[in-house]
Amino acid sequence: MPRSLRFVYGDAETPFAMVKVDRGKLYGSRSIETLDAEGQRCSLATLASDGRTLIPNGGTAMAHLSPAGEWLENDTLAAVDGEGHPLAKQPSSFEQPILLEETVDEDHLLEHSIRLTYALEPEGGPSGELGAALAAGTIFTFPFSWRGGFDTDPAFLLQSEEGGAWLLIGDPNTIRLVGLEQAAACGPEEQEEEPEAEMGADLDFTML
Amino acid sequence: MPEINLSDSRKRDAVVKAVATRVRERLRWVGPDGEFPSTHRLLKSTVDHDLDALQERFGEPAAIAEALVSGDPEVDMERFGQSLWFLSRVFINPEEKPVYQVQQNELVFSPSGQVLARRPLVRAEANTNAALPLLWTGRMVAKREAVRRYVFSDLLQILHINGLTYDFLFGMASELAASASLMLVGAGKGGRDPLVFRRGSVPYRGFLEGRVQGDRYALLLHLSNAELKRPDAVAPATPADPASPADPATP
Repeated sequence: MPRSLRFVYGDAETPFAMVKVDRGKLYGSRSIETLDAEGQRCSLATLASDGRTLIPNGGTAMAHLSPAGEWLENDTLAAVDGEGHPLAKQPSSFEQPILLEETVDEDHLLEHSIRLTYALEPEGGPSGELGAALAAGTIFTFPFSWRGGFDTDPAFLLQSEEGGAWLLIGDPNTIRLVGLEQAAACGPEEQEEEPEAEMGADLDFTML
Repeated sequence: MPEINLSDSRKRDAVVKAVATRVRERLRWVGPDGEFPSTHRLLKSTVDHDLDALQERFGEPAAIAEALVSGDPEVDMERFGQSLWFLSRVFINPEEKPVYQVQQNELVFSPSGQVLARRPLVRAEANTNAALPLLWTGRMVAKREAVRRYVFSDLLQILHINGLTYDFLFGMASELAASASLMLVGAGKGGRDPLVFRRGSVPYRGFLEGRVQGDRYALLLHLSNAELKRPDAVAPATPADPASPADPATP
């Protein structure tokens, strides 16, 4: 059963059921089957640096060690942001209504790499004032956390070209405006030009 | 920092740099004494100590349970817990022995999960720094439409490498900034092919965006391999549909 997010906009609270949509659901998917010389199906394992030790899936673990090499239990660690400020634990976004008060423009959304897309369906009929704001092109943003924790992801609520409401969850990117003096170091090589052709009106995403 | 062979609206081309822009570390952990711990990958188990190996050695589950209680046959006290580095990925057969010669097939599934095709795997060749530069296709998409129509899952910033390429990229960014639109760029003849950055990697549609402030610019390459569409709005797939465009078997 799909989970629901509750959005508060104006005086109304609107619950939306969310359904994950990915490339596989739209266009299908591909997987790679690996066979040995006898036609037996193979799986991937990890080989240690000694060249002999084979490690199965789940055969490694991550651990935190102090600068002195001492083991640190996870519950003794505190979360801080990039500037070293302590981070408070955030509740799951499903636990309480999400107040929609911050909007962004298209440039801001384009500064994020979208990792997850969810189609939203208003539960119990049309979404009123919020639906009207989305139809007018408003893009809302809020911090999203599936399970709760110290880290949240930037999320965006908007209406797609075809009309439905969508939740996009992504990662921020750092865009730098660069001047002449900020060149990347490398050696270029010029290539010959090629005539361009007219593209059709629709892009074919199924061929990707 | 990958190189990219890019042309502009006048079909002039140059090899420039493309850098990843994603913010990698948004959260850090601090130890009880205020020190920043380092993260290490440790050995937890090997194929000689997993369930298959214990079944071979002890047989029935009850016998395995008894062995686990009476000793620690699943643990190598000398090695488990050691730090791991320079790890490699290898294929193993059902007997958990490394395999040196493999044949790989590509299975193509429909959106409903049905197998549509099974064929030898052909990896698409990288084409973003090839002899043919990436071309402006002439197809502009307004930013307002683009963010509501495509899922942009990755972003690269294009950087100049010298004074000449600064002028080249600054001009491109200025032109795009004035249009408030993204320009579809493509690889191959006529710019019709999707962008493949490494051999066998995910093909993407590329959209260029320009931003300018004074004499500074940001030229951004947005990558997308999906549309913002509900599944019922997409035509059913055929066996050829999800294939790599570089696969010669695909029309």
